[in-house]
Amino acid sequence: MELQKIIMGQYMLLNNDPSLKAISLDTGIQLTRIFRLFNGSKMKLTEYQVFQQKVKVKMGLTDTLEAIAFDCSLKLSPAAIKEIEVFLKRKIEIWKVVQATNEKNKSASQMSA
Amino acid sequence: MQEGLLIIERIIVESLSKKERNLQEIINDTSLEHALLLNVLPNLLMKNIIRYTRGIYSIDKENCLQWLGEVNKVDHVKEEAKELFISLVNQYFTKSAERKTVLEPQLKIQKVWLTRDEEVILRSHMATLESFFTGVKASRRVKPQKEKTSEQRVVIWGFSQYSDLVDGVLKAV
Repeated sequence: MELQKIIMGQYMLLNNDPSLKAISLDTGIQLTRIFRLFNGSKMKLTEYQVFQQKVKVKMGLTDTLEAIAFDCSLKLSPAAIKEIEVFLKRKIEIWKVVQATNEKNKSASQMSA
Repeated sequence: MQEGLLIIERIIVESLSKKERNLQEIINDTSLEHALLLNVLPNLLMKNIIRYTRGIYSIDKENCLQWLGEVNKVDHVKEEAKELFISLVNQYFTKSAERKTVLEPQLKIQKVWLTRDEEVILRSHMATLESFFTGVKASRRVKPQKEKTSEQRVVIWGFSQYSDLVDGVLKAV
């Protein structure tokens, strides 16, 4: 569910909060299904992939991170792969802390409202 | 995390290594926000780097031989240095309107061919800079200032031969 929220958030942000109808047209997913997804219904893998692809296209990521990572894992030296791994791990550790902080702040502001 | 300390962990450890503090004092000294600290401090407690007793956080001196050796491993320090350098580069190239800090970041890169004498002069300038920082640190010990860990200036300098840097890039694949 967390990944679903993230990808939908990214999609909305990159497309300037489009209407449900516009999302349905863009993704090819039925309008009623889009409505349910935005109301917390669990996404199917295929739906997630559609959103993910749309986000990547919007961000100009034709060379996806996954594709590049795979290419690197096949071609680069173990030391170079380790360097990338460490860099990415540190990024994600910081992200986790920031994410947890934002969640805490969000729930605190909801409690005080 | 087995890859040494993250920058947000390092600043807390540095803050507490000066003196033990309560949560509010850590906030004031590190400028990290309350909720973020509540996420990072438990990690440091779990790693036995810091202790918590009656509202006060302090460095875990009993276990410091273990964790100091670990966090100061060359590979870990290298990653932290990279993180600082990347952040400085990012900050420098961020448009000033988007930058949150008041202090304008400085970053200079020169590529210049030096004669032997000029290189001696450069090395002497760098030694002067080094001794300036050593002097500042020494004077703080004699005459402490109300300094915040977060308000320290991070200064990075160094040089290498262009071809060595290029070689380094070529070998790192």
